[in-house]
This record gives sequence, structure tokens and C-alpha cells, in this order.
Amino acid sequence: MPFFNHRNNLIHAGIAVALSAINIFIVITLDPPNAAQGIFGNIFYIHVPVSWTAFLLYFMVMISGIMFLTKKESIWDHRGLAFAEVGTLFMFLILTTGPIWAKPAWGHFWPWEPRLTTSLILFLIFLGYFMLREFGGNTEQVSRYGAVVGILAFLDVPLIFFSVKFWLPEMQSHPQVGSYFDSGNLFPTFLVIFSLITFIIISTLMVRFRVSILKQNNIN
Amino acid sequence: MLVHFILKDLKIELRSKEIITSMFIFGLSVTLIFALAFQVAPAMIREFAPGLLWVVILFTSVLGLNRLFSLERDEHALWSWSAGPIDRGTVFIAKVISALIFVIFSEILFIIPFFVFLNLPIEFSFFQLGLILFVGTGAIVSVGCLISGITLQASQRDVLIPILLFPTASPVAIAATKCTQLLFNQKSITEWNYWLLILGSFFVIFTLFGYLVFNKIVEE
Amino acid sequence: MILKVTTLSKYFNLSPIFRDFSLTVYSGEKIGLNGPNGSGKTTLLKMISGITSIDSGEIQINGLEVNPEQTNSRKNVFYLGHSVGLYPGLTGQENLEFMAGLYSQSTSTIPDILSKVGLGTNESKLLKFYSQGMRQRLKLASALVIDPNVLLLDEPLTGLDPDGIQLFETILSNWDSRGKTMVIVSHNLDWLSRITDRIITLA
Repeated sequence: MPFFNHRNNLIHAGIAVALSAINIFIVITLDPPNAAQGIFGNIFYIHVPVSWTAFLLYFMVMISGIMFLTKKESIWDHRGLAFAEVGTLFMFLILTTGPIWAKPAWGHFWPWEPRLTTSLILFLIFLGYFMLREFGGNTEQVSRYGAVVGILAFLDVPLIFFSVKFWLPEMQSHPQVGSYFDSGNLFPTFLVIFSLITFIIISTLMVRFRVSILKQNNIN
Repeated sequence: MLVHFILKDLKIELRSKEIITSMFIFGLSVTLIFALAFQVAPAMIREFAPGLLWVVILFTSVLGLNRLFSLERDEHALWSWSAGPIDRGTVFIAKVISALIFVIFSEILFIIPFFVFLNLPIEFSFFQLGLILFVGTGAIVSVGCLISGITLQASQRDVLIPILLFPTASPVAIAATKCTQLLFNQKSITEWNYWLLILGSFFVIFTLFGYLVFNKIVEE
Repeated sequence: MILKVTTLSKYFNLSPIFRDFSLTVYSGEKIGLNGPNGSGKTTLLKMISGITSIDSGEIQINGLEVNPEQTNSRKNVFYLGHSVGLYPGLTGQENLEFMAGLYSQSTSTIPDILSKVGLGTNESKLLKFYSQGMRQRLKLASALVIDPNVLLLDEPLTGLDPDGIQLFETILSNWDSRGKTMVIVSHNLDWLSRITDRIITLA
């Protein structure tokens, strides 16, 4: 059955689209977090929640990998792939919103900031992950390999983060919320936007997940 | 059983000398290109040298790992043990140890020309350099053996190994370069032992992880 | 040694090769497997030996599940396939020593076995310089060194000269008299029906 003929799916997707519009509206109309930066600072409202989601998705890739390797149920493979695809999309968003914000804040597009660098490295590992899934062998083998690489990538996160952090100690980390920004606590705003994004993500994941199962059924 | 596998790799290598020779000559050629390409003041070369050394090591490791694992792929030699009554994780540990022996051996061979070509002063403890080389190489080959195992059956493995290995091993590149730099600048070990710690934990984490999942990787 | 395959399923690139396949080979029985190319004969043997993973179902040898986590389960089974499964960079002798070590068998019988299969003069030659027939003989030799109770023979006559075929049949009758369980894959139906107890045709 085509995905959008399913009434609940259609409603869910509709809500997701509406929420994206609201999300954009909120982000644009909120006061800039730092008056000196003006409207550029507003991208921070989207950058932080997007980063949370991206790392959460990659964390879920690892969980799916562990579940797939222990339970051998192909559903975990489909989940893992869907998380990886959407996660990589969001990593790409971090890598675009980060530099847009970095330019006015630090004067250059690519500060070797630990979190941003970790995102870049993870993004590269996952490009390799997709290449492996494409060229790594037969479908059943690459499912297992994908699970292993998904776990491997997340095991690498703390190591990458700390080595980049110690690498350039003079490089300040993200300005901590509250100390750098004019307005007080941004955390509630982030949380609202984060939940909106999460809703959109669930919708996207459902589509990706469905596509991956349909692909399998089509061949049989 | 561990020794049985290491001896097998050593026996094949002692006879053909193929892996170490190719790694040594490749390392030498890359060093030569670096020496020719970086025509800068000797003081600047000294700053670059630790990074160059680890780039050479990373490149030669990829070459060596690819050859080491093709021993198992040629004529499906791995079927001898993948069908055998042995723990496949042990084979992984054996591979890490053989790779460590081969890469360290080739490092010993090309590190002398490296210092000579780049006119580097030798004013540090050989024991400490050896320690860094051992732990750093261990970190590279632990994750390298895992990735070579994953890409063993892949048609594009020559491309996939570096694509997956380089981003994954980026903490090693940072930490090992920092160690070596501080050593070359005659800093005492207490100033760079935390970098060694990062390298060591990388080595341990990925050796253990490989030991756990190698079972799933070698099955066709 | 009873070999029991229960509701086995295996997919390759998402298309099923086996679906709920079951097979029981009784102790001492010789089974012939036949079927067109791509029907999964080799895959079945590789799954039983543990080289290839299975998607669902169970394979038991003497009541013990063949499973990558349990190393003991693969002790009694040996797959003799048409791809080599031996190291080209080692000599015949060293390859057999390696195999003997894997299965914790003594290496003292190796020279006898090598001369028995007609490789007595080539034991120090590297495997990569062996001809197809010599490799086949060396594989037979490794089966003799390991001396497993379940033998999976995949086109065992490939590359053998008439002498070699004679040698193989002598070894086969010796295994038979010692009550080994055997599964033999071959396209040669006449030969298969002569040497096996029953033939299963895979579709």
C-alpha cells in the first residue's frame, strides 16, 4: 500500500510540515541571542537542537547495530539504516549552520571547535558507511558490516572529542549559554525547537524505514 | 592458537618479504616526496616533522593491512579457520599482533631515512619514541584490522579501507602527532602522558571491540 | 554422527536460496546432492561447515548446534570445497601442519599422509606452484589429517587424474568402513548413484 494512502501517515506528515513552518517562524522572529551579532545569531536556535538530534540519531544507529548483531532480526537493520540516513542529513545541517554562525562570531568559517570537528569526522565515517553498504558485498553481509561500523563510529566519539579538545586548548569551546548571550536561559527555547524537530524526524524516519522495507519486499 | 596464527603470518612473510618490503619502500618514497615538496626553513620542517611522520605511518599501515588481509582472501584461505573449531576473536587478536610486528618493523626501517632526509636533530630518548610508535601503531592497526576484516569481501576494498580508516583514526593522528611533537621539543613525558593515554585507550577499546565482533564479520 | 538441518532459511541479496529446508543425514550414511547451478549445493555445505551464516533455522551435528559462538560444534565437520581454503604462501607440509594445529591433531602422521596422496616429493613446494590436481590431493590430505566424522565433499573429483580418482575412491571406501557421515556434491549422477546411499536433488 502506498505510504501516504495510510491515513495516519498522511496526518503525521502534514503535522510535520506545519511544524517545520512554525519552527522557521519561531527561529526568525525570536530576538537575536546576542545583539552584536544580529540576525546571524538566530541560527544558533536551530544549530543546537539540530546537533542534539543528529547525535541522538547516531546513538540510535549504534543501538540498532547492537540489537541487530545480537538478535539477527532484519528490522533492526532497516531501523539502523533509516537512523543513519536521517542522522547524516542532520550532520550535514550542523556542518552548514555551524560555519554560518562561526563566521560572525569568530571571524572565520571553520573554527576547529571540538564539537564541530567531531561532527565532521562522524559525517565522514558515515559517508564511508554508505559506501560500504553499497559496495561491501552481498546484502546480508553489508547489514552486519553496517551494524559494526555504526557501533565503531559512536565508540570513536569520545576519543575524537577529547583529542580535538586537548589539541587546541586555546580554542574556546562553544560559548556556554548564559555567559555569552544577552538573553538569560536559552534552554527552554532549545527544548521547544528540539521537540518540534524530533517530531519532523520521526516522520522522516517512518518514510525512510518504509522505503527500505519496500525495497526488500520488491525484490522477493 | 594465538601463537599458531602469528607464526603462520610470520612464516609466509619471512619467505616472501612482500609486506614489509612494500611498506618500507612506500614509506621511503612518501618521505622523499615530503622532503622535496616542503622546501621551507629547517626550523619549520622541524615543526611539520611529527605530523609528516604519522601521515607516512598511516599510509604505510593501510598498504600493509591490505596485504596482510589478502593473505586470507587469496584462494579463500580463511575458510581453513572460519570452518575450524577455534574462536575467531583469537584470529583477530593474532592479526592485530602480526600487523603490529610488520608495521613497527617497517617503521624502524624508514625512520632513519626520514630523519636523514628531513635533517632532523636527534635529541630525544629513543625509548620514549619507541613507546609512542608502539602505542600509536597499535591504535592504528587495531581499528585497521577491524576495517580490513569488514572490507575483506568488498569489490572496492582498496578505496574503502582508507575511506573508513582515516576518519576513524583521526584521534590517533592528533594524539600521536602531539606526543611526537612534544618529544621532539624535549618536553618531559609528564607533559604528554595524557596523549599516550588517549592512544592507549583507543588501542584497547578497538582491540576489544574487534575481538567481540570478528565472529560476525568473517562469516559469508 | 547425525547431521540434522531443520527449517533452514538463507537469503542471498534478498532473494531466498533456501526456505524452510530440512534434511537429516544419519550416522554413517552417504548422501549425494545434485541440482542445477545456483541451486545452493555449495552454499548448503558451507552453511553446515560454518563458513557461511544462516538467516534462520538450525543445523545440528550429533545434537550440538553449529553456531559461531560455540567453537566445539565445528570440530567434527570438514568442508572440502572446490575453492582451496589453504595458504598459497605456505608449502604443502606447512599447510597440513597449520590445519593439524587448528584441530589439535598430531603432526607426526603428515609425511605418511602426504606420500599416501602422492605428494611425497612435493611437500616443500609452495602451494601457489601446485597444479589443480595437486591442490585437490592436498585437500584430501588435510581431510585425512583432521579425520573428522562428518565430511562435506564438494565436487571432490575436480582436477583429479585417473590415478587420483582411484585414490579418492580408496579413501572414500576406507571412510565408509569407519562409519563416517558424508555429503557429496557432484554433477556426475552415475558416479554419485554408484557411491552414495541416496541422492537429494535441490531445485
